[in-house]
Amino acid sequence: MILSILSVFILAILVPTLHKITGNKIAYLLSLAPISIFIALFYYHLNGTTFPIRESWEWNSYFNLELAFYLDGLSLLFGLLISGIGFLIYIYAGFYMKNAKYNGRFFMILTLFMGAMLGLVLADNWLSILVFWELTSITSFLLIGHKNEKESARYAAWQGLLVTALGGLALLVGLVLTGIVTEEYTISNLSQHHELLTQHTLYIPILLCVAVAAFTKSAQFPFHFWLPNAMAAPTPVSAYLHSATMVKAGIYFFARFSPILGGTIEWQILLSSIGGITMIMGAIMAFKADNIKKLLAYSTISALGIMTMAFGLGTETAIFAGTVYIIAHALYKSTLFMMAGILDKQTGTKKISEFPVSLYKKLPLAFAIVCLAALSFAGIAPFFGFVAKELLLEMVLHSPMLSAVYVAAMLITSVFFVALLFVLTHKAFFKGFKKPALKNIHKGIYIAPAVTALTGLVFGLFPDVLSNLTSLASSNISPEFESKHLALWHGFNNAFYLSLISILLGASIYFLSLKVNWKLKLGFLKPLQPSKIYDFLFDGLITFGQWQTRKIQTGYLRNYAMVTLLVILVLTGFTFFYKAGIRINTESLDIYIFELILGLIVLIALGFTLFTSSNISALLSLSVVGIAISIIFMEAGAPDLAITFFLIDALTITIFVLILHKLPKKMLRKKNFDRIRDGFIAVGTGLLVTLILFSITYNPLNSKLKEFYAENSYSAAKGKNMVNVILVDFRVLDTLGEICVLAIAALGVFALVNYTKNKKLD
Amino acid sequence: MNSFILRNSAKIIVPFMLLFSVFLLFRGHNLPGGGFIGGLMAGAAFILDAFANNVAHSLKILRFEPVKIMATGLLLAVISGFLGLILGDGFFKGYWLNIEIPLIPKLGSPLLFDIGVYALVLGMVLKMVLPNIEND
Repeated sequence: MILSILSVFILAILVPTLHKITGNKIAYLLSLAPISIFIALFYYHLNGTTFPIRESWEWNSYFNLELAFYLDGLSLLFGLLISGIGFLIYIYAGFYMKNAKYNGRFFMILTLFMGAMLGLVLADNWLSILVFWELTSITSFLLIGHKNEKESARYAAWQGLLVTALGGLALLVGLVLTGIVTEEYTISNLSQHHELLTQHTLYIPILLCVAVAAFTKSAQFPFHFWLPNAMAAPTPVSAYLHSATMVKAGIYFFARFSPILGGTIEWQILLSSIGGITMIMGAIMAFKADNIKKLLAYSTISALGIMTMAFGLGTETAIFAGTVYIIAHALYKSTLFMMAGILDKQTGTKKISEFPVSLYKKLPLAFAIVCLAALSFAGIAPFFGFVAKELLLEMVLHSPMLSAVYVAAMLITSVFFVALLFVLTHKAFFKGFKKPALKNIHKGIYIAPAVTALTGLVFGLFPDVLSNLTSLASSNISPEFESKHLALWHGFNNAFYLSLISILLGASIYFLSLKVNWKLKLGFLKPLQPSKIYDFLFDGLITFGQWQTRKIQTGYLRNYAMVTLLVILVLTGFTFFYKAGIRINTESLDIYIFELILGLIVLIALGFTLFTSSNISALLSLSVVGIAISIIFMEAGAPDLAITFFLIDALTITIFVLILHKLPKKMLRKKNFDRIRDGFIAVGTGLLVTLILFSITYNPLNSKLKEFYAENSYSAAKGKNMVNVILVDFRVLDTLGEICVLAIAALGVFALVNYTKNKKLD
Repeated sequence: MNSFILRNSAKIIVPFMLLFSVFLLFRGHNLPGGGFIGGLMAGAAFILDAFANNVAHSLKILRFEPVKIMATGLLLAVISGFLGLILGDGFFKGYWLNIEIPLIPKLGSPLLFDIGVYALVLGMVLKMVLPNIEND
């Protein structure tokens, strides 16, 4: 497993090079990766391998970090979808992106995304899950923003990234909390702690975190708004990410966490209510949409709502229905997206109302494929969508509580799905408003959608071939699950009657909407729309950032110095007085007359510095202070320090003099208030440092270090100057770090000086 | 600055300062001194020259660009550390040659490190100060 995922990533890195060699053919070359993974997974499945298969490489046992992969029925199902649909998408994209700008970059990111997605469904350790999760967010950000010269694409990419990254943070919190409660960091082992988790006080926070993460990824209300905007991506991306993979990641999480967190009343209420709201809202919004990609995006949101509700209800039928629906949805939705791309290419518009007259005559093949997929979408026999829909209806009919509400919700959604069937077929292909002006494209582009559409039909006619796979996956979601068989025909039961009703109602709604132009008057709700709230928060964040940058980064050195000193004064001062307190050892304070005189000189020089009006004399008197201090060092028996201080002082003064040259001759007269404030800060900081020094030396330093260095500096390091030996031998790593800092600082200073010079030239 | 006295005294003082800086570097191992102080001293010598003559002149007698001297210093210091790593004794293990040459300190990897510090500090000082000197 690790090899296959790794190879996808390596392949992605090689794409730019390969692209130079193969040009447009790169898509077909890359498609070998998903198809071989698909075959490998399929081989596992057919061969009756005993699941689960585990692989893990320990990285850091202390932090419970390992690279672990886990293949069971659920990840097998998702892996097959990702690799199978991925293969077809590459074939499709090979035609779609032919000669497009930056298609090398496009295929590289698409491959990275596929690797991340495969990694996500196979990962078993909390950290690897998180890493793959964020990788899918980042790669999808790049894919949505592929047409980066378009403002709308960039906006949509940001929105997608921010919303899903928010989910990523929630997931991190959720996983860490789970880890704290169970001390288990391997996801597949977590189901053993089901009771501990569900009865723990942290259960609700954990549930909310995991749910929010999955909601953002799977575009559930109120985080749904990023998905329709994400349609700014090239169509192959929409077909892949936003129908079959990325948005299914959240669903995968619900499935994966069902045996861990599921089965409680909170889980049921949260998931099924959010799922229910989302599915109804998505279906209605889809019906209102005119842009065919937006229509499909909203219907995806709705379908994701159905799956969320299914895993929320958590009965055996519900889980089975959800699992089957994942496959059905992936098949018809990727077909429809790919067809939307083809129609867009040929007609030059994405708006259904602008499609040419009687398109079905011009594009019979397209019409046939759309019909196949749309019939499956609406749940009409004998397509696979029908099998899934029957199961879903059965699920709501047998739901443990509030059956009537769920039935109603499901019915409304199906009605609108049927109405959408007519929009996609009748309105798009028969109505038409404009003169046809079709562009020719390579017929090969039809291969991929035809395959997915026909697969939907085959699975519909012979659903039993999927019984094993779906039962296996369902048994991983719910431990008590017993194998079920899929069948097209369940007899004349309630589900079938509901299905019939939905078809009739759907058809009548569609034909009514053609006659009556009814508009929902919901304008007053606009400011409360989640996307409006997102915009408000986003703009607010930027405004706040600009405001606080202006406040903090004033560009005046004196302000930075003041803030730095104030922070030292307040924080250090607080800690010092609170934790240590003042201690002065009066006995060790023996002052020599020599020191007194030096101190007096320092004070006089300082006073002169403060009150002189000439810059240069202030500077010179400051150098007196430096020299006096180095004399104190010398007298205290630290010649190395004294020399260094003296030289540094001399150089600093030199640099100061050079810079003074460029400053105004007269010193800036500050306001009296400012002077007093600065005086307080300066005196306070000085006093604080002095007091700290007194307190530190309160007890005579009884350190063994001194003896150690004295003993070893000659014998071990062959040097008599202890200070130097410490610098270049014992503590050499410190010195190395310091000289690195010096070098960087020098470059920084040079850059600053040059910057102002260049500015003057301008 | 165009001063006859300064220019001529610099002619004498600068070589002595440079010599003294090397002296400080070499004696650092056993007596007060070392690469840092030596580097500062050498830097001061070149700055004096830049004041007395001009920046172009001191860059000429320096022969190498300050930033390259700085980089070389850092490289030497790191090499002295990697010596131990390559020979398998760990980063920055000190090695000494057992030969005594008059006037030159005991040769070894810490001395190489100190020379690196010397070069880096010299380059740094010049990089910071020289661009600010305007000879006009």
